[in-house]
Amino acid sequence: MNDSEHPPTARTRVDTLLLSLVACHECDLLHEKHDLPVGAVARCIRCNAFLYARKYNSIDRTLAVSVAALIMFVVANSFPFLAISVSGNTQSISIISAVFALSDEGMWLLGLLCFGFIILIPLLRVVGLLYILLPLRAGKRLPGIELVFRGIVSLSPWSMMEIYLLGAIVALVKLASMANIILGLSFWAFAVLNILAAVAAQMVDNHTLWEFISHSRGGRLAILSARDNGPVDRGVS
Amino acid sequence: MKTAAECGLVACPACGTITRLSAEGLLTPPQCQLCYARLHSRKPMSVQRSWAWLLAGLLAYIPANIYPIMFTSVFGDSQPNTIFGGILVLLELKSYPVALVVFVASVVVPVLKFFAVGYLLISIQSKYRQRQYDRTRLFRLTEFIGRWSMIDVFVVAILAALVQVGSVAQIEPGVGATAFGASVIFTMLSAISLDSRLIWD
Repeated sequence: MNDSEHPPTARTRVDTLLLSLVACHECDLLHEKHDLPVGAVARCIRCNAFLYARKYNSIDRTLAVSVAALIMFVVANSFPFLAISVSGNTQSISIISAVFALSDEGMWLLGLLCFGFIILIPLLRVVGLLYILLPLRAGKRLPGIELVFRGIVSLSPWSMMEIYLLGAIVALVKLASMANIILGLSFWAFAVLNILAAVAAQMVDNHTLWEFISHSRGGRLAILSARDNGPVDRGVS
Repeated sequence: MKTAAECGLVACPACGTITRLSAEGLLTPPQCQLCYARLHSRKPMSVQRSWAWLLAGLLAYIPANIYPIMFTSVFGDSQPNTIFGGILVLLELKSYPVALVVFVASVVVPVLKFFAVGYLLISIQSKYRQRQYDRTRLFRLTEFIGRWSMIDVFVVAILAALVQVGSVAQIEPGVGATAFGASVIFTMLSAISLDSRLIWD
């Protein structure tokens, strides 16, 4: 950047964004961003925290896995999850039954939280990702992308599908000696959904996702730099 | 080797974009120019909030262990089950791997988490400068494993829904499950409020 052409007093808003730098989110150490080879991961030199990565065709593959995950989500919530039969009596449940079992017994708060952790939050994250990526891939930009992105990031610790799956397995072990257990179609769909979610998490990180969003046509970066007509330090891109 | 804070910079917690805090045109409180997230160099009142959630989690953990997390009735004979009792049942069934998973998730992890977060908070408050890397790793581990404690709540929910076979067998959730779920959520919030960058300041 040439300071004589752009004196500090005339610094524009875009200039204040230092896009070639990255700060470790765990220890705040500054690093210069580098163009990584495909498959490489950048980590903090001081605390070894994950900084950013470059994966092969990250966005398109994430998009494909997210579409598959949404289909699996619908399947997993449409069929019986588990069933038991004890001396001729059969009881079958779906994934959402666990929520009702709690709220029917007056524990509606816990039921509501379970509903959020295993159904609503995972669904919101997948739909949010598709809301961002599908239109961007077609060159369109839907409103509120920034809000959706921040939602996906901050909701991630509260998506507990994999814990629910392990919980189901523990429950089955407890029942195995006293009842016949039938694994429903939803159980397998839910297991596949968990694998897809883990694969998606491996394919894209927040940093890569954000770079794709902000560098796409009509993004904040383009708007700001067009308005300010100033130089944009785009770092690695 | 400089931190963003030392250079008067702040990284967006959501998108990671670096902003100069002295920049013109920044709103107060500052907002990320690209994704509009609220910017703060360190999470506000991190230590106080983390302590508050940790104590709430500790308080909720007491009723979680005293009160039954579920009632099992076989042929009309209702039995209360506590968390620890549930592990003993799994041991009697000789399901050792599953007993271990439940024991780790509902006893070892919560207790270790109270000690780990408490230790990290005390070390931050006393401005302890050693073993920063180890403490960061401890923080990372705490953040990662904390949510797995919810497994016990889900087991109760699934059993209560599934075991409703009329007069033969019935399982109902107990208040201990709510207390345990609250304890897990509070300690997760404690870890989320704790800003690991304070370890290095």
